[in-house]
Amino acid sequence: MSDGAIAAKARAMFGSRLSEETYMKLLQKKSVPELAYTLKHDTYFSETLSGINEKGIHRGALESLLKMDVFTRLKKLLLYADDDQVGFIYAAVMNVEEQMILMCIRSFTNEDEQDRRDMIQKMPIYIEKYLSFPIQKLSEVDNFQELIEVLKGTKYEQIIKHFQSSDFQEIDYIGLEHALHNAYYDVVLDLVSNSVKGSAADEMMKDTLTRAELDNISIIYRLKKYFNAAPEDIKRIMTPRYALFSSREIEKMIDECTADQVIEQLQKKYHTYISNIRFSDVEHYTQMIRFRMNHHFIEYYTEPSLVLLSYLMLSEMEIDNVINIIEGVRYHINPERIKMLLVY
Amino acid sequence: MAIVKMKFVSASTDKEHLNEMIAAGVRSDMLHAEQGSSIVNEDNQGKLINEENPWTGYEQTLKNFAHGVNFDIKKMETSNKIYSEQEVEDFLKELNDKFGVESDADKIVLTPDDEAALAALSELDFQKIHECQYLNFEFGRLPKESFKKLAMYRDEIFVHHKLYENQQYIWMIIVSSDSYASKVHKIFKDLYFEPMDIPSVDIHQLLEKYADSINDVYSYVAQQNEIYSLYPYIAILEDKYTLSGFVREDAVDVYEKRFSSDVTFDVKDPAEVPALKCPTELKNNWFAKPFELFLSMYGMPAYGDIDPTGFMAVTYCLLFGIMFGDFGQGLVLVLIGLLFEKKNKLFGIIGRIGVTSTVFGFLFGSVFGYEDALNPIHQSLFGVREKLFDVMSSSSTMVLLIGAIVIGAILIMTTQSINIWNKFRHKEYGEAIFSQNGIAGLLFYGSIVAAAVASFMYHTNLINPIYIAICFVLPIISFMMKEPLNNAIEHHPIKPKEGWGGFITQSIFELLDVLLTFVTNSMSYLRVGGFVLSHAGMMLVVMTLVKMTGGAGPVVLILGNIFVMGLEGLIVGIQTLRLEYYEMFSRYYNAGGIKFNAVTAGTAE
Repeated sequence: MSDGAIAAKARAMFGSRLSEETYMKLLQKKSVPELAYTLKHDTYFSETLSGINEKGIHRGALESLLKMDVFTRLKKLLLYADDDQVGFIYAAVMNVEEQMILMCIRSFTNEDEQDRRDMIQKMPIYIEKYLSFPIQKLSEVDNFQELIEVLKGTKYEQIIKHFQSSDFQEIDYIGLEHALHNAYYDVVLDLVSNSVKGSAADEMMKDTLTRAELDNISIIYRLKKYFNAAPEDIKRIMTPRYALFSSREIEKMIDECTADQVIEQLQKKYHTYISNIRFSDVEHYTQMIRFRMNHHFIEYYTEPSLVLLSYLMLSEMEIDNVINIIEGVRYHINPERIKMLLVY
Repeated sequence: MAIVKMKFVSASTDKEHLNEMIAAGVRSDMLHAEQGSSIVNEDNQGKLINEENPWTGYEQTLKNFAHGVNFDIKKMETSNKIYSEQEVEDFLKELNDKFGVESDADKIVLTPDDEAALAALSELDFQKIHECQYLNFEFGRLPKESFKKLAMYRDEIFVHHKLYENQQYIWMIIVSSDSYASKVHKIFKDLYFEPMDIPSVDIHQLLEKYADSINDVYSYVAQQNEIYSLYPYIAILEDKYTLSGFVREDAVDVYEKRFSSDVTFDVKDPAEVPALKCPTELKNNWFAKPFELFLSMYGMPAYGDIDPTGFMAVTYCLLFGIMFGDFGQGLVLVLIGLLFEKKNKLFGIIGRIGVTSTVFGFLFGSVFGYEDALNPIHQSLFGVREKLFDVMSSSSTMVLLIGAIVIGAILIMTTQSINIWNKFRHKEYGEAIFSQNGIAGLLFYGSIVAAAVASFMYHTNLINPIYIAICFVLPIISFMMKEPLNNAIEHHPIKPKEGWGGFITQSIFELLDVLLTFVTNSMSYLRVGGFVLSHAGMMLVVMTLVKMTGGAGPVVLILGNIFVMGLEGLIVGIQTLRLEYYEMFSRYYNAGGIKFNAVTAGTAE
């Protein structure tokens, strides 16, 4: 299959994304059934949602189907891909693995039936075959030993061993989450450096590092703004990945800047992507940067791995938009407020 | 090619026979009914019926019920019984009690998949399920993704049985003991289980028993609702209930016979009821009838006006035939027209324009793009060297374009003449004499055409001061002074409404517009010649492709002809319609009529 095919297909699929008009139409809906009806009949989710009973569907079930759609799209694109690119699906599911491991630890440490049921509810069986461990076994786990048994031979085994504790009160959750997150970036960056060469590799590297960097900045802002956290506490949970900022600049930001100054610095470094956007929320701001960056890649590059990665990111953001609308409508949040969260 | 004569007929009766009268009026299929509110006025001191219609609610309730239980409700011609309102209400209550199904409109409706799952569940016997005292049953649909997760709850105490599935869901019954019911319910809730009610009775068995009575009551209720829905057409005049409207003049006797002897009639000429707009029904011969489609798209003629369908049919066929002249393709159009005419009027038009296309195709000697195919026939029939008229010859181009202008000039003068005749019929003398489409316009345009013909064909110059004064200056003054002259004829004050200053300024601009319109209208007909060349050009391309493709030539020939017929046929059809609407109708035809529509049961809904 030619390299151009995957880029052309991805661009065509991206072209049929939800338009601003559709988002506005969705925001006008008053209930989940109405939303489900519109998504089923007037958008390209119709294939995924065909056969659902829009009058009776549960909000969670609808969201789960939409999340599943990202993988359906990815699988469609991978039909045109070679073996190197197929590896990206494993990168796409790593986040899910991370979340499931954390949920599993929470369920057995809390010894709460509801936590266990929540974990089973969120378990994405549809991507089971791409995961690095048998996910269904997590439902039977009651302690760290059993969890390590399930994760044997995976990149998570050593991390869990490192953080395990017989005293559940002593577990360093933040450190664990941080370590898992680092492992994720290790895998993605490895994948990029091994499968892609040339300028596209640089862009992919930039894309991945930007994601880590923006996550860091978002954490710095929130901890400074809402928790008045000490620099040492902030530094402890930083992912050591840098894109446009240097490690020194980030360190200086943590040590010296106020929350508002953090945003000013962000605006200076990323002005190409956010020059015309008014700041309202740090999460929305960093997402807009990622959206525009990936939008640029998908439009101007033909390197299949880069286009694939960008399309995956953009699809996830689109699904997040729809989920935000569904939740907003379900909990009767003012459409104007939901609109401020949308990234498109 | 005329408009059918109408009569205004009022049928009156007492309250007792009102519904019977309405039913007869509706079934006659002959009455273009007028709303009661148009009939009553201060002079006749009439009233309207102001009664609630209970039958709409009953009909909707029965429909909802049928939808809710997936019953195919049928409306029969007549019901076997007459039901009072009380009897209908009792019947609805009985249905509600027996089926336990709410028939209110907001009730969640079962999908066919739900129905199929219920049918599978009914094998377990609904009554027995409800009779169980220590077991808890839950029935509903589970997303397929969640179904896979049930394996993770294998230690929990419940059993489930799969009843039916589609692309997204699995319908199932879940059984647990009463003591575990709450926990099991939570598990399934977290798996997005969508519970459904287990009916208390087997609806299918019950439906078989009630089917006939449901249909009978529904037929009666629907019939009553239809009659009540037509109450807005009734006016109460001197305690009599009157159903009024327009009926074809030749059908009045037959219409009256449809009613019982309790109904009396008052028949008037439409002119006697000027407050009501008489509807128009066109009466055309076999040839012109399909063109009523194009006419109604533009607008129906007013009652008493002229029906332009015949003239339109002739000119449309003629212009299309010239522009799309091909003997073979024309015959194909005739064939398509003959085969499908009954399905749609448009095919009737296609058949007719196919005839003129064939005729002009014969004269141009063109058969499916073969320009020489008819040469021998032309030579023997017309005694010519090659063919009668070679469209592609360079010497033909000017002939075609000048011919198109001549056709345009003739059509413009014809439409002006029709307009003059029509305006005189309506006693609108000012418009008939002084307007650009009246005698003044005809004189002006005709004189230009005559001078041009004399100069080009007979090399005679008609232009002299007297000719200019009578044929050009006089009509121009007439165009400008139309309003005051018209006022003078109608014995109104001669001074224009906007005063003389404003009037003269406005007239100058209007005059420029009128003069420009004559030029643009004439030029507009150039397209007739243009499309003759375009058609021949496109077929030349097809024939070149046929030669280039060698063995695949016949396929290319067929596809090329289909393409040209589809694309160019459509374009020429639209262009001809444009000539009809803009160049011709604008000169002589004012729509503004309403179509005759016989009242039916659904009219008022």
